[in-house]
Amino acid sequence: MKKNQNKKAQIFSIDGFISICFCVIMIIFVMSLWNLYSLRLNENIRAEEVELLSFQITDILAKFEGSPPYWQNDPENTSTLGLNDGTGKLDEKKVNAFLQMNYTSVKRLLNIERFEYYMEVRDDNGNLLNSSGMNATTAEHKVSIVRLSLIGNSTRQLRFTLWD
Amino acid sequence: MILRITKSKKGFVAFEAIIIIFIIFVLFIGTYAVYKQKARQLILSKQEIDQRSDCLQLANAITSMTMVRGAIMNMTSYHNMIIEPDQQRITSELSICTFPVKNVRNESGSSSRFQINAGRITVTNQNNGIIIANT
Repeated sequence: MKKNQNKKAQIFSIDGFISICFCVIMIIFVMSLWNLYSLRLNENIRAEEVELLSFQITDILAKFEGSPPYWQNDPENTSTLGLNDGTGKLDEKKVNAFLQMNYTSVKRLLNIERFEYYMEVRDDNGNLLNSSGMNATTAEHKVSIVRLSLIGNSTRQLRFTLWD
Repeated sequence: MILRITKSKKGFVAFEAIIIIFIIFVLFIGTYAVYKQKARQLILSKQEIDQRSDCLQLANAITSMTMVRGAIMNMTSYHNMIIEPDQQRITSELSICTFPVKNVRNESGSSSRFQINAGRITVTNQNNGIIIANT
């Protein structure tokens, strides 16, 4: 009878201990999962921001003439960049002026000072004709947008890469 | 003698039960505190995402309107926003976003920092500038 009572007490404490341990492990697991999803959400928000900015910038560059419209004559006093010639094609002088502009000035004008960019102009066969900016080597987030456009009568690929 | 030992063991079980109930109670309180904190974080995250959505919508409208002379766009914002044309930035209580153009002004033509209230907003491309106003 003595032995039986002793066993009952042991079973109770071991059961209780195991269930509490299990409960604590579950709580820690759920909390880690929550933190993981919070991190992923923040990463997604950051990636979406880079993506959206890339779209906006390539849109502006390809469709807008810039402000003032002949900004390529005086790039230092440019208010808004744009490479369109007003007829839907890219203006070669504007493209060249953009590619030769100071890297920091372009980032300031496009309001992407917290990111890096790389811009390439390729022909319709994909051969690189000209480029500017910093190539993404150690990019955490990198978004490349390619747009086809005309310069004169030649098809050109405009590839804009935004990264951080 | 045997009887005394047995009584002592019963007391031990009762003491264990109290400790376990106490631990379970502490665990419950801890879990509830974590739940409340996470629920608060969730509400904040939702508010931040909602405000960010409004912010990005306005930033997109500004960028799109820049490309189309004379265009007018109406949209609805559910939060107050502060537009800083010089910084090319839109801020709300919990969110911030940017736009890649500089020529943004308020109704009176000023390009200094101004506020847009929740409600209907009109974004207009006028004289090569983007004018944002409540309607």
